[in-house]
Amino acid sequence: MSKNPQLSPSEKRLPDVPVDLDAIESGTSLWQDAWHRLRKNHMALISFWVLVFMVIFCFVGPFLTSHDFRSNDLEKTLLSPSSQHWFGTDDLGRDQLTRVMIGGRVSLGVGIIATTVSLLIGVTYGATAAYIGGKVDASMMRLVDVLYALPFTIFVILLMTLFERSIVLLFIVIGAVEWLTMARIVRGQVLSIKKQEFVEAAVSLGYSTRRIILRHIIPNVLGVVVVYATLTVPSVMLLESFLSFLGLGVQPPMPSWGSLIKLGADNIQLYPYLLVIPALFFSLTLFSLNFLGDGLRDALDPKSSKD
Amino acid sequence: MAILEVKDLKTYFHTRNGTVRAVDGVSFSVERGETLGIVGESGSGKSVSCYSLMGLIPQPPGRIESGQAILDGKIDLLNSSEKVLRKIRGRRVSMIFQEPMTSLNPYLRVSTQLIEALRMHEKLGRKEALSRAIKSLEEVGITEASTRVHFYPHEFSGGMRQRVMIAMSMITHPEILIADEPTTALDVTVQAQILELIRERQKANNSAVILITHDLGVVAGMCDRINVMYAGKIVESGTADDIFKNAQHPYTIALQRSIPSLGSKGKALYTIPGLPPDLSRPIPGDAFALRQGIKSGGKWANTPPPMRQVSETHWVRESDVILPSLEEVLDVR
Amino acid sequence: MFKFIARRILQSIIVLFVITTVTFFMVHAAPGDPFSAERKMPEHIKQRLMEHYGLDKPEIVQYFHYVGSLLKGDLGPSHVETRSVNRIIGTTFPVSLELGSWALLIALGIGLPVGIIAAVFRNTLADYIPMSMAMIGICLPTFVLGPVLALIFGVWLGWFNVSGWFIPADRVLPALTIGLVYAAIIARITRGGMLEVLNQDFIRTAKAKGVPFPRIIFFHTLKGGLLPVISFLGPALAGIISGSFVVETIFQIPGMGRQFVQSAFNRDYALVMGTVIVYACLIIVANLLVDIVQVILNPRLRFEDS
Repeated sequence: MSKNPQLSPSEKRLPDVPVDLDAIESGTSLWQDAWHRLRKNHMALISFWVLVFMVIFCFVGPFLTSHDFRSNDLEKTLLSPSSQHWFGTDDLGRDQLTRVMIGGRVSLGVGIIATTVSLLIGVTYGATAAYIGGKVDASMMRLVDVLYALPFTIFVILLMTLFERSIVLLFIVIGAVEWLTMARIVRGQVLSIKKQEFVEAAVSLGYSTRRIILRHIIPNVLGVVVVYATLTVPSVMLLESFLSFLGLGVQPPMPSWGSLIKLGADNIQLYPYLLVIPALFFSLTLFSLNFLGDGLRDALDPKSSKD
Repeated sequence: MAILEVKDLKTYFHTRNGTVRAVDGVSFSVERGETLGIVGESGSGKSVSCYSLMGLIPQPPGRIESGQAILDGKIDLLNSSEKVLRKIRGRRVSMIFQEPMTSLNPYLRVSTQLIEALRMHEKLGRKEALSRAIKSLEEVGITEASTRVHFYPHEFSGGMRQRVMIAMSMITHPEILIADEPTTALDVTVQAQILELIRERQKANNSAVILITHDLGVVAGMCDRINVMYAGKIVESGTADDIFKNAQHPYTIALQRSIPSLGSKGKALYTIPGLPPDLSRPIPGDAFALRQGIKSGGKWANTPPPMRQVSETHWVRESDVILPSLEEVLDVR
Repeated sequence: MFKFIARRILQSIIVLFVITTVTFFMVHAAPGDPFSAERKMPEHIKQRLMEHYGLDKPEIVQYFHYVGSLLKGDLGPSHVETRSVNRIIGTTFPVSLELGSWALLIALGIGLPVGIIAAVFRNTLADYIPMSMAMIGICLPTFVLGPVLALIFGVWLGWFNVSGWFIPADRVLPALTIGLVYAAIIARITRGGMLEVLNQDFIRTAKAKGVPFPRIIFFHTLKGGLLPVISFLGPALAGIISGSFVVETIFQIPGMGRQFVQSAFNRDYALVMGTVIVYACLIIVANLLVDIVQVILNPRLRFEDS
């Protein structure tokens, strides 16, 4: 009957169509597909380049201006934009262009670092819960639910007012709030992948646990983590700027986009440019991060996209 | 006269990757009290052709390119106004679906869903409609119907839900019932009960039933006539006897061979090699000949094979495909 | 159903207790005291004040004393102002409540219809245009939108006052500032929820029954489609509260949000505690209501419980 009698039953049932099993396993095609889809998404691409511009503007820009963000000049307060000061000067005569750059550096920096912190906590927590499963998982997730129910912004404000405000405290506070969502998402993703057919197939084919984690679970969770990290950065920046707006975030003379907007809001009657310019930079960055995150989500997980 | 006569139905889906010719020139008719089976693999167009009749094709991307479906010699279901059709759907033509778990609205009581058609189509009052609903549940064998009519769908088991679906589709005594894989999602023990129930309700109402399934076993016991579909076209059409005792088209024969029979324990199962063709590319000739692992004489490679009459009731599409034997199929792997 | 509500109320009381305790010790562990905030005062006067408010006693004694009076509904005296905390919150809370209600009304009044229309006319201009605007709305934080609205409609056009809370027109800009952001989010959630339900098999069943299109939308789809919106209302309330901190500061509204931020700056222990407890109650009650409404709307939840 069969020319190759040693074949096991499972191998006999392999599909007729040649399939590149390695490509499915390592997920390379997943990322390639994602890249193809992302390139077609114009909004996401524009957003990407806006962000590149913002990073260069904020991190390289300050070296190119001839002003310092701290040096007051009380004879030149509240000047309108001019060739000397492109964005004008603030209430203490400091160059607004340089301050917007440095403020962006602070906002973006806080966004990236606090996201990393929340990422590390959230991924570890969520993956642990999903991997152990059972009662441990249930109680770990119950804790997340309870923490979710707490009025966090109120606690954040309390912490930032009552204790000595430092940038480290800011990271801790923001990281502590933002890891919850990440933990939930990672747990859900790991659980659903554990149940998926190709993993069950890998298990039944006798692949080792390590191989399954390395080649199936991690590449597939990575996509979701990248997407939500991109979407966490703007929400972290929002929280930081919210605190800075209330005077509870980064402390003067260090600016952040939030505190610059606050200064602008206090002076809208006479000096609208103090509001409009930092608000524009801040909003543009938030838009771009959100659009890029959405684009990445559509690209990496076409099933979950809008419809 | 036939209660429903479908002529040259073509339903295409215009997607970004090309036009999918899901149903490509299908014609059939059903008489009152008759059961017509439509058989084929998934993607053969059997469901799409019936969804087209019910106006359930999402448009876009779907479009009914051509065809007529004349109900009772008067109304064309494919070319009438939405207003006219709404009065037919759920009253004269109704439908049950494959998934009883998701086909009932989980947010509404069964009673609400049962009486909806009566109140809409027959303008009955609440009370009257409710007693009809209870009666219809009793007719499909649900006990304590007067209490359970007020339950939510999740309070019924899968088989019970399919009974509710049948009660709902039969409550207006429709002339035609379209059943789309009504037993596929159910336990084997429940399947026979549901089929029996459909037949019983059909007799009581003298309705025509169109039964869509991929399972030849289901069709064998139920249907008077059978259409076999492949790649959007009917490849063989005839009475149950024609199809089961005198199958002509190689695809029909292959389908029959793949039914696991009792007493075949230990023998390898026959499966049709390859996959159905990609319908987003035009197929000039015999679609079955394009299947991987299938050999053909090549006569119908570039010309569409015509239908040939075998007997008064039996039609078959020409094909020169030579089916591989069971041994050959296993050897290939 | 009643068992479920009773259990949830019990849970809420525990959460409230935890919040009270954590806040109490956090406030007291912080460096500084109510009398070191602004003016320097002689040591013996400060001593007398500390005694007066019982702040010289051990923290644990203060804690039990506080919880004792809290159970009687007394939030204690303010350490900085001469009025009691109950009186202060009694005047600021109604202002914030009004602001929040208007904001919620705007959010739902705009968000729901826009979301439903976008879902029904998916992939047309009626979907693309409002959804792009919603995307912009979501990205605009209150502290950007507020000043910008004030600049355009207050300073440039002169339609509204830039600050204050006196005439009815003063409600417009603050309420819009908070409401529009949530309108955008609710529109997106509504659209998603409606689409999810519209793709379900039972909608196809309804169509096959000949149910007219409007009835499919408003009777068969809406109940399930709005569930995500309902569950969002809990977080939305928390968001509206934090929005009120900013908006009340921008528009100088004498509400609880501004008062909370000020009291924290002033280290007015009793006032901070009182405000946090009121906020916590508000959020807990809202979440409880949301849960109950969800159970009412979704029969499957009811079934699981019993």
